[in-house]
Amino acid sequence: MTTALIFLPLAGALLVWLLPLPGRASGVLATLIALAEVALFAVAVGRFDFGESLQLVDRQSWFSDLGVSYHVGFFGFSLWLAGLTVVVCAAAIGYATWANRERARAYHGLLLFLTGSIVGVFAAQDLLVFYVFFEAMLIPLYVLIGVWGGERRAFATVKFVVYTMAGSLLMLASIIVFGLSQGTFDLVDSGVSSNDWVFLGFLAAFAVKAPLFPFHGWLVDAYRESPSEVAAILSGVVSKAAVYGLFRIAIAKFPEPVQDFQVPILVAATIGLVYGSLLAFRARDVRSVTAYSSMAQMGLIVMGLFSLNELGINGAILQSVAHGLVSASLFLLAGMLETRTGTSAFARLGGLARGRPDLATVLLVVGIIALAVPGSVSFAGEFLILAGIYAEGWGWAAIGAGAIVLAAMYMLRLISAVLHRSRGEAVRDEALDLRPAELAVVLPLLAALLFLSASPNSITERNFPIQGSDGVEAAR
Amino acid sequence: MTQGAWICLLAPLAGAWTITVMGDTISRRTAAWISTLSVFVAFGGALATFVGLLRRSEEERAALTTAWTWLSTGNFEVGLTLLVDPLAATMMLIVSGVGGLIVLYSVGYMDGDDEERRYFAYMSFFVFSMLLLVQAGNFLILLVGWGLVGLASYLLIGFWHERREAVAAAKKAFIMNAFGDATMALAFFVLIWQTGTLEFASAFEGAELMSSTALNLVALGLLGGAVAKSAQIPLHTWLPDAMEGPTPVSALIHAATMVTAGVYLIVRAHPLFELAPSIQDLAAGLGAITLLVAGLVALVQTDIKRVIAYSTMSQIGYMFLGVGLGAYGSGMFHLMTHAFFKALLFMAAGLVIHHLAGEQDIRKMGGVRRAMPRTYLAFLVGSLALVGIPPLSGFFSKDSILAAALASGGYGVILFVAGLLGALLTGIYTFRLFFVVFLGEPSPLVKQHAQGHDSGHGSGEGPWTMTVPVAVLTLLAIIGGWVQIAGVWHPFGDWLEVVAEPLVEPSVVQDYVASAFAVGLGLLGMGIAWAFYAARRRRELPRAAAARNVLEHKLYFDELYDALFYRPAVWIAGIWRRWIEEPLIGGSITGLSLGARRAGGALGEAQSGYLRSYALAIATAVAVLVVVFVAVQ
Amino acid sequence: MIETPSVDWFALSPTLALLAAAGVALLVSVIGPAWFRRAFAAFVVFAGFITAGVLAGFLFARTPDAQPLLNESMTRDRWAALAAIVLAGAGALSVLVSWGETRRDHAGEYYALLAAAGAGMVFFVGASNLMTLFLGLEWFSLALYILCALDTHRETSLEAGLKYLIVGSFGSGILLFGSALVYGATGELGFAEIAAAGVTDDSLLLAGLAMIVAGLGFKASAAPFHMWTPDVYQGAPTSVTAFMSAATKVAALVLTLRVLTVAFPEQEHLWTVAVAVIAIVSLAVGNIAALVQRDVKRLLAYSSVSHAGFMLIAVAANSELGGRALLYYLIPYSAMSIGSFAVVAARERELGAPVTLDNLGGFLWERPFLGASMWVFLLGLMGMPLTGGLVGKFYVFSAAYESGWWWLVVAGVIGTAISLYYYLRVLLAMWTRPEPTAFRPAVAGGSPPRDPLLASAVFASLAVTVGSFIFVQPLIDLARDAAASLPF
Repeated sequence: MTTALIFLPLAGALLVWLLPLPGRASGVLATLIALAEVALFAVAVGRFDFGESLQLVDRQSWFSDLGVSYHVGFFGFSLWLAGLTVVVCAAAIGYATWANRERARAYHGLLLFLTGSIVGVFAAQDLLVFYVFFEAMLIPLYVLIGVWGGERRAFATVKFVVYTMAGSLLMLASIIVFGLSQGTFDLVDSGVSSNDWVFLGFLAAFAVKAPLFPFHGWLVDAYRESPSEVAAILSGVVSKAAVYGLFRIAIAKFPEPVQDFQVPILVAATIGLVYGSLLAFRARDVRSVTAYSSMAQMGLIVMGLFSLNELGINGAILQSVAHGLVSASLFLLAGMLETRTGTSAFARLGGLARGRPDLATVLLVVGIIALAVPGSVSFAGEFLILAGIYAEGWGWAAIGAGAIVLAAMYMLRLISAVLHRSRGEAVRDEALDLRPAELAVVLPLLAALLFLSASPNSITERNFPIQGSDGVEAAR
Repeated sequence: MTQGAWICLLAPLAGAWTITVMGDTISRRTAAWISTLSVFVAFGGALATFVGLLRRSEEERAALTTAWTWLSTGNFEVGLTLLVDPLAATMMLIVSGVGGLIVLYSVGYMDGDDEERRYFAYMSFFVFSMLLLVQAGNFLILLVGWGLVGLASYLLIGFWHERREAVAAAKKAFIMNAFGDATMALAFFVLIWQTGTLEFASAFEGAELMSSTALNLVALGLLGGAVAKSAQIPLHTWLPDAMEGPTPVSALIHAATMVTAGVYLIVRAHPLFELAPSIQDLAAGLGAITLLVAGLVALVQTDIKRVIAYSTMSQIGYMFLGVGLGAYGSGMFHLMTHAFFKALLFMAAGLVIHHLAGEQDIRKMGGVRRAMPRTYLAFLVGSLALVGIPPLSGFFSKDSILAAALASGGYGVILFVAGLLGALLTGIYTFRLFFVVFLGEPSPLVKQHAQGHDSGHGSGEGPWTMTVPVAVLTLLAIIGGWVQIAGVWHPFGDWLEVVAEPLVEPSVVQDYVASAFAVGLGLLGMGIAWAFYAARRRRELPRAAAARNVLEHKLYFDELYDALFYRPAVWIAGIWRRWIEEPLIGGSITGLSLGARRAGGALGEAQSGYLRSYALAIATAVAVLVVVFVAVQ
Repeated sequence: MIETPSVDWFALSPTLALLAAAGVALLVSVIGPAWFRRAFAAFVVFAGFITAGVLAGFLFARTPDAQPLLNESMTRDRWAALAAIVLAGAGALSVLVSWGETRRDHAGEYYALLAAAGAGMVFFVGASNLMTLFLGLEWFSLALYILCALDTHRETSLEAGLKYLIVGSFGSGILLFGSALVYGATGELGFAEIAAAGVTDDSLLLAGLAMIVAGLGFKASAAPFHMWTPDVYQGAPTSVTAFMSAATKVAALVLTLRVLTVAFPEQEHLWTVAVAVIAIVSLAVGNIAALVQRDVKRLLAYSSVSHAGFMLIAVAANSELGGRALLYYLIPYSAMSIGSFAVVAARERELGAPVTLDNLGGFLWERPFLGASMWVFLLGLMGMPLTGGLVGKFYVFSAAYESGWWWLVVAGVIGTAISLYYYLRVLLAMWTRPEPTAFRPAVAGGSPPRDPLLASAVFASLAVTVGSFIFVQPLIDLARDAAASLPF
């Protein structure tokens, strides 16, 4: 089952690459495959018993002398992350099809390949398998940014590569040390370690991927230069690989180092939260705001994880899903804005609400959920996270709450700068309201957000089998 | 009974949803009527609930109903729960009743605005949120409603989104309320870790065992939310700006319902406040300060809506004063009557503004009475009720608060004096407004609108959709206070007693003393106003230009916050971008790769292509190896 | 009357097969009709490599434990056999790659020399005393010198040959002198005997050891003995470069590990460190120098230097796992290396000019198969997933860590990180279409006819590169058996 979930998109990628279809057709094919993947995920959820721990396991020895095996499966929380992946990627591929990117076959194949590898990351139960998918995930991203990106794409790509690979390679070193000292690379069989250096190696990779302050140097350029749907996947889903890694590996396998480094990590996360929020508040275009805000959100999520109690961790997972949907939608909307006005700079936008009710409504709703208005799913997530971190000291919670006010400030700034006030110079009458195709891409994400807002519990009560445990044991 | 509650809650949501989804497949009119209908259905639900409660004996006048678990992790669980009890029912009736009238009024008022649909969707959404707030069965859901009304208020203040000021005002309102939400959230975190729950009942029980520090924190956090939402000092500056919104919005959100939520919160959470008396006193004190300051500022405002807005602040100050002293019944009573007469004043003012095609500056008005006799009467009733002249509603409610203050002695007496001064101010600013707008000779502007305008909508005072609600509210403003007459009967107080046992029971004597003073000062104020603004048509208070300057700048609160929060934020962000983001974070990697490439270049140099250099290099390397090997040995 | 030692012909059969192929090809290219020479020589040599590979395979199967040959001058063991298989494979692929190279003259000789070089290497990896070692080394080196210079009409080719010859002889000289010193110190030539002689801290011996390490490092083109590599790789005919980059490294590294472990176990503490340092220097020099290259062949040359560094890490580990890692690594590495040079050759032929990052533009769109394959090869050299490159690095690092060289792991990691930068430049270059103003391909008569042989070679390399990622277990079993025949 899990294997199918991983390899359906990969096989689909090969198919798209090999079949000599014209651009649109290949896009449609890719979209269909992505939708099939969503359906498959639904089946997986159906088969999943949320009362149990690790499930849908596939295991196959890979090379025995070092104790490496192809071992995949899902926990409740990782299943949700996978679900986020398939949904967001389907939307992204759909949008790419509609936007009709050039060299469509390569493009859509890469997107499918990306989808498969991300699902693989969330399913991996063996460290080397995790590393393989973690890297495989980056390859298509390099190309998608480096080839289809904006003017400064080369620069953005190199930055992205150097940062992420530096992190990943440190992780590889840590994996080797951990695995050899454990006698196995299997995440389920291996015990816990107390080696600070190994822990830091893992941390490096995830800190870059999240990104945590001050490892976010690649962030803005990558998000600004890449095609909007790639940015959507990058900020919405790929960053969540860090969440999975932090929880499944760093927290689950390194109890002592986690205790030792809890405060420094919380400090970094908190700085990231405030720093990101403030820069988002001063950023000059939609993409930058979204980029910095997702940096801030990741800081918040990491705070939740490293509160090391059930409230915080559960909230972090919920918030991961929520933020994934939100920032994906925001980047897709940014793309739609750019196709209409050719820019996402606030200075040249404004007044788009007049006569474009659909665009206005969608952007407004997404933005309001993004700023975590009470009652929204992101509010539920942030509430749990801050409630959790409160136990580690009221100061963290206070700063976090303050950052939420900042979130209100920058999101409202974005909304009114795009939709309200007098009409911007880049806004012409030809800039139409959202087309049906675009709505078809965004509305599912929006629907998911609204459903989760009505009942965030549908995720939180299904993250961890043993209610009352913080799930760390479950992951071990 | 609980079904009634659910209907009451969901009808407006359904209305909002329908209008949003139908989009332009329905006419603006239909949208308007859908919204109105939905709110009146809600009122029906509220009535059903009310009757249901009446049928029960006092003890079991409380029912919880949970739709589903909204959020849960481990032992912490929060349901989407409604609580139906006398307090909730009262608020439901006020919100849906007054709300219904105001939405109906909007049908006429907003007629012709090209985004009516959006407006009515927002209105229904607001009513839903407000009902969620007052029906919430636990603190988290209450916070949800709390936030959603803030959102609705943001949307409606900024409804005319081409207007820069409107957008700015909307953002200001939302952010100040977000601050309040944050402090409430923090209070809830304390509750979660101390009592393990956010259910009202069990949280109150658990609170008994909490340390006084924790209790003070909780109460303070809640108070922060209440102060922000009810525009009490120091978080009041958003309310005057909020007048950028359409007038019915001001009537509904910024007079009748949302801004009084703070009072509701204190009554709802009174066990917590009673466990933290100092904070409760603080609430009363803030109320007193606000009612004075707002009264003073109202003296010099020249925008008809802003005057009423400040008077709203000051009236809510009374309510805080009351509930802060534990006179919950009186506070809620004043909340209700205030909802009637303040909504009435706003809507009457709305009629005037509507009649004068959007003009709001009272200096350009005068003698409106001639053109709009019925509006004149309505406004007069509202003003009298506001000042607290018997037998109008304001009289009974305000005086019961003052009596309670008097009764609680000590600290209470100070507040009592403040309240009396407030009564004087109320008299002055209310009738300043009234005289300036309605009496005297018609101003040029009014004249120009008097002719030819009558053909506009039905009578010169607006279509029936606008006049009927005004009429109804006028009636309510007159009789609304009769449900509670000191020393005679007090069904309203008894009705709420099962929820919140009042801490002070003023004696009949105290009641009449308070009333005497209050009415006297109110009349005095009216007299002053008459002397300055009617008898001698003077538009301004004499002398004290400095004081006026201060007042017109609303005591410089905006400037203070600007300097305290906004500028620092901008400044820090700028610093960080200049000195951290761009050079360090951005530059580091660039520098790194540059360095690497330089090194590569250097190595390229070494690769001269000359054999001799290669041979030399290799020879040296070998030599080094040999020497090292031999040396190490 | 000298009694001749008993000869185990089966053990020598791979070498002999290649020698025979070389002889026949040479003969035909002298006497055969001109039109006939090239095709026949190519076929014979290809067949020779295949036969050699198959024979080596039998040898592997039939040699559970090591046996001495020819008075301990050679060894018959699985270590040598597996290396021979890899060498044969590399040779066969190089033949396929070479076919498309249209050469005015010496077409026949070319293949003959290729076979001769292969024979020399197969002989070399079996060597078990300093004499045969040097013999084998000179044997395949001479063949390579000529191969490099074979395109006499190309100045760069001549220059490359000459440089390689001179610097190479210098390297051989060092190796020879080192051997002499060792002999002087121990009075023995055989690896095992040298160890047995029990001389430990004699400075002569140590000096000799140092020089042997240097000489072999030279062949493996490890820094700082790599200076010749960029020039020669760039100048030599690309198919020759392909062969050298894979085969020479295999031979040199396999034998390095054998010599050091068999002959100098006592000096372990010295040579492991030395090799480790050389590894780090190679990683640093290779990767950093590659950053600024624009000529793809030169860039790949530097990358091969850095990979020598990686494999030397496995040597430095000096453990059974290290041996396994080395042999495993060599398999995907050879495939990726030959494959990438093959693609470069293809591009070169259709451009009629040296391949640079600029004129590689849009290659992926003009030749999707070759372009995609190049992608896989480069990703493999990066150590990215879905290629054996990742598993190879994984094994090498594991071996290093297991032997306590954690700082070698760190160095390797840093080296890899740097290498990404230049590999990525090639990768992205292939995607971006050239500007209208930029260099137009299609010299005289447009792109040449498709070259199915080269394509099949690329495909084979592709199969090995990806296959070695999926089927790690069987390859590792082979490597384990092979490494078992070395004394750790």
